[in-house]
Amino acid sequence: MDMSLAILVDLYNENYAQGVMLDMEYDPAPPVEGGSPETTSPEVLQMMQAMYDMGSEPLVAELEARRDSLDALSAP
Amino acid sequence: MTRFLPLALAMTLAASSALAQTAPTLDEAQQTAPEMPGMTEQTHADLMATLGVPRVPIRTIGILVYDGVNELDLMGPRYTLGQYMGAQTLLIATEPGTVTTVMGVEIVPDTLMADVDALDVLVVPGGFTGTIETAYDGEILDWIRRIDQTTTYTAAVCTGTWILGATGLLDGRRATTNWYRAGEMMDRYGATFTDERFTQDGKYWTSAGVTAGMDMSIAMLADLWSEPYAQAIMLDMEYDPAPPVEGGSPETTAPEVFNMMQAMYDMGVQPLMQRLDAEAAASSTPPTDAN
Repeated sequence: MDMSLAILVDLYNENYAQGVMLDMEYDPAPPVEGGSPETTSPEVLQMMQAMYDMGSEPLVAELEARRDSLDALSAP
Repeated sequence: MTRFLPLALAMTLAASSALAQTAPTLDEAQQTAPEMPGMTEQTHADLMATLGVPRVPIRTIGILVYDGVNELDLMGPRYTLGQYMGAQTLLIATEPGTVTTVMGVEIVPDTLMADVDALDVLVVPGGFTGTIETAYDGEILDWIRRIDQTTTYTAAVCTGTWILGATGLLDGRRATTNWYRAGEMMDRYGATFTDERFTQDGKYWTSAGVTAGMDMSIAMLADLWSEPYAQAIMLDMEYDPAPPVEGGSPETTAPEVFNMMQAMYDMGVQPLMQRLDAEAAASSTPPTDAN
């Protein structure tokens, strides 16, 4: 959303983006501190990273093994 | 990462029998959870210690969708509250078929209003003219009143507060809503406009316009579960907003932009509300020429 607003500013102008921001009432006030690695408590950050690792690493390993075996099959 | 986080969390927490007793629907989440070859007992224990257990058990979250609904009003809560593991989150349509949002996105709802009798959390999103028409639809208002009797929390985002207000449920309560003629609109429904990003009054949660629904939903997660839980979801969403332009509220918007936006909304809202008010008055007045 932040990027898209910046793109609107770039494509049109600041007043235009400000009209859209008012339509979205985009004046954010997150009720909890967080949303970035720096503002997240270390145990929550580590938990989330461990969970993403668990979800992505075996999948990446499987996809790479499949790709390698396809490469081996098509090799002369 | 959209489906990964809640399912991974759900599987982790489903491992706790103590929690399974308070939130039985975790069994369902476990059935749909992906394989996690890297999960060890130690990581289970670490995750459990970090997240804790929900303070308030929730099984069903329903978001009402109708033609003309604002997609961002509904998608903030759908994404955020949808991460309450073990709960089913449903987009509930007012009538059969797909729903077209205010910006033209076609939505395939999960179920129909007529097929839903009870919810733990009901969210009513806003929009523009479609929202006003919904606020004058007696059948929809009756359904909301009926469901409200079963909810732990009833919430509205943006002009969804107009719909919730039209049910009478906000009468005598504090509430917030979209900035557009907010005080007048809350007066109309007997509520006191708080001018907050979101407001909780008893079981009723209301938010300011569109994106405020995300802030409200995060606060609801923190309330229903815990702050660390909400923080985990905020990291998943990388919700550390940095708007590149000043604005987003009447106070931070240039007066000429504000006046233009209000005039534009007036043109869309005022004739429609006058017509619907007149129709409602006519249908509630007994006929004088009965013969």
